[in-house]
Amino acid sequence: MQFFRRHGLLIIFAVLQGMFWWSARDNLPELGIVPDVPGEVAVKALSFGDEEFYFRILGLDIQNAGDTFGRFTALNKYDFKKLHAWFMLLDSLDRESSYIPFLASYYFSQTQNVADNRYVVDYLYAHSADRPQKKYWWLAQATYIAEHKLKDTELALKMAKPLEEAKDAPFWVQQLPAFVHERRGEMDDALHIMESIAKNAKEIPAGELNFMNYFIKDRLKRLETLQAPASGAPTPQVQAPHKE
Amino acid sequence: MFTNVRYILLTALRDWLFGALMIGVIACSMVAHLLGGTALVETQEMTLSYVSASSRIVIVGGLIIFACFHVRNAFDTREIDMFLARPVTRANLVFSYWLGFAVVATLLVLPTIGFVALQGLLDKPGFIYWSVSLLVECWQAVAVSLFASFTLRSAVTSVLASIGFYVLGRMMGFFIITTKSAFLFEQQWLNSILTGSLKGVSIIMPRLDFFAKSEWLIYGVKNMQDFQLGLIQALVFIPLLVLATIADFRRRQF
Repeated sequence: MQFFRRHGLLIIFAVLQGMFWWSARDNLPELGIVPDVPGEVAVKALSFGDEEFYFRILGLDIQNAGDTFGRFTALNKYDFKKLHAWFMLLDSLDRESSYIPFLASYYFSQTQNVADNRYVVDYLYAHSADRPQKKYWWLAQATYIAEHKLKDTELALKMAKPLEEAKDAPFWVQQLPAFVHERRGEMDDALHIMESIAKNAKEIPAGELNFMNYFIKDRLKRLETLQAPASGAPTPQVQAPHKE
Repeated sequence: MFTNVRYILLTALRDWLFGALMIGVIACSMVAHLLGGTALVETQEMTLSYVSASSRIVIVGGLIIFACFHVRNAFDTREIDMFLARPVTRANLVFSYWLGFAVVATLLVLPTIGFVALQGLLDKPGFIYWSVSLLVECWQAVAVSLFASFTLRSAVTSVLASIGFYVLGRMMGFFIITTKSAFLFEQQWLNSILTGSLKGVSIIMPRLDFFAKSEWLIYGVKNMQDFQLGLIQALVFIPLLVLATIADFRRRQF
């Protein structure tokens, strides 16, 4: 009896705590998939002067979004509009890193909801279009996704167009717009690009030169068969540029 | 003066400051490795960024707590009275305190720099600038906590004030950007008051966002002006705080 008099209140509150646990045990925190996107100003403030550190933290958050606490979420359940906003926001913290373009083009582009890839392509374009020399890889990925996943050759062409300006990039990169034109049946545009590369390049390896010659001859033939009967004009030859 | 510096070093050793903070830095490195390793790409960049920023926070936090509690303890146990009984001026005493804490900060920063270097360097000049910048930032944090602990009556208040000051200093760049925007509120007079007060605050607050940016470790210092402004900021602000502490200490009655 004395025990209850001394510790009665303690026991009552311990029992109350037990009852609380019993009633609240199924009230789990709501776990979203893609977190809400903060404002650019808020992110700048929260970075406390070290934007790179905050970029890396948020980047990892986005990589793991939907796959935390033992969950695995199918990509078609992700809100790609929000993801696109996240990508753009993270670009405002670090535009040099390839981390977010990598996530976008190799991971999030695997979504079962193919139409969502438009957001990925839009982001890759926004990330790279103004500096194709440096970011040609992501424009090439955007072109690939637009052409092969979205089956939208017009979008693919928009993605590939800036690559014409990537003068020091590998030849296949500069040739990509030509390939897209070719897929669209625009042989003359494809030829024009190939000729322009051959004319303006400083040094072309023999293999590349042979390929371009083959491409021009072959596509010219196709162009001729597509268009009116042959006019008798000679096939132009691509010549190796003079080394200075 | 150097007796006090030695005394501060001894108390730092006695309080396990070096051991405790190094354990903190090592723990941060391990967590950074774990997190960085989970990144799909750029794992080294991730790790470097996490290690550098978390070590900076651990060291600055540790230094602020140590300096504030050390000084307040010296007041409470009348060690300050004992120092003043000797032929030493108040200005000398304050300066020796700053010097002692700055030496402790240097001894903490050096192994931290080593830990960051162990993660693998991506840009050596950037790493050197980051290291120098971290050291100078710690000296400033020490000056802030010295000022707070000499002017405020409680160790806890001093720590809180110093941390608040540090956080505000780190956000100063953001506040200055905000003052440039005239579209915060719809009422123009409200904007004027807010931007005016922010400008006022930015005059007395240091720009700590110029210091120890982890992007320097990854891409190098792209804008040299940031680093230079940081150094100039420290050259101005550390003496300012030390002199303000001296001015306050001179007026104090015992």
